[in-house]
Amino acid sequence: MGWEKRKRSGLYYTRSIRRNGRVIRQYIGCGAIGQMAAAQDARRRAERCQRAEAIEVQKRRLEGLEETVEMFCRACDLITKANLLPGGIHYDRKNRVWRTRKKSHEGTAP
Amino acid sequence: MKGPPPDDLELLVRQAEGGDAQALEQLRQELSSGRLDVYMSRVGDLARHAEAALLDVATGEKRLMREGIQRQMEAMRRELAGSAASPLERLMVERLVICWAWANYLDSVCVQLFTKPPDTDFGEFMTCLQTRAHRRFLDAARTLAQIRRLKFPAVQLNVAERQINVTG
Repeated sequence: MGWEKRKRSGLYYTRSIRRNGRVIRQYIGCGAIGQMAAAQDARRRAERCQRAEAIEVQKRRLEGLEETVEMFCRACDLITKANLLPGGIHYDRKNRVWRTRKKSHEGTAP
Repeated sequence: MKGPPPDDLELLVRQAEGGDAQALEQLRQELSSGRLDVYMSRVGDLARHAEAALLDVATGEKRLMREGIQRQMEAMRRELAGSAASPLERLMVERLVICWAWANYLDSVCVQLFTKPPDTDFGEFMTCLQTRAHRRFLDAARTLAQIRRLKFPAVQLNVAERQINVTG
């Protein structure tokens, strides 16, 4: 979108829009009409930028918190393993279960 | 008495998990000497930091809302821990409560997304966070239940020809 220079009518405002997957040039007009459309487009662009920036700020805040919670849970996992491993209890990753290690029975009849 | 620094503990646990008998013995000594309690209290500090950060994001300047959520979390802690929880159980309860609060907050953010114009990228980002938070919450609940079951294993009673399982 922008201003095109024309011989007879001077500056002419145009807008590119996407319709049915194709980009179409829309001819708005010159003078006051063109200026109004340009101001409207500028306002919409500024609002889109503000929304995008607000979303980025929120994303960063949520990612930071996600990292904190994840770090805490990993520390909990570590403490749990440190407490349970000496007792012969290990974490079965496949079934997501804490299990007691089976002792081998040497010398027993089958 | 100082506890082992976190990096060494992680290495020690990894070695013990891998079957290193020496590492396992060292871990046993750390546990019996009470040095792991120091690390556990550091993890407790991490829990308080996570809770404070969560409340800051969820409630902002709304003090009444913050207090309401804090009371709710405290009530959950009391109910889940009971009267005779071990330090490890209390930590698992803490983990469960924080994971619950995080998952709930993300659910409320996702609900608000429906009232605004759709943003595909942000929607995907939120779905990913929400899925991870719910999985973490379920893991925390499962771990607490399993630790309790290991503490109080089920007793099998054979009465006549019937088998009855009783949990403590």
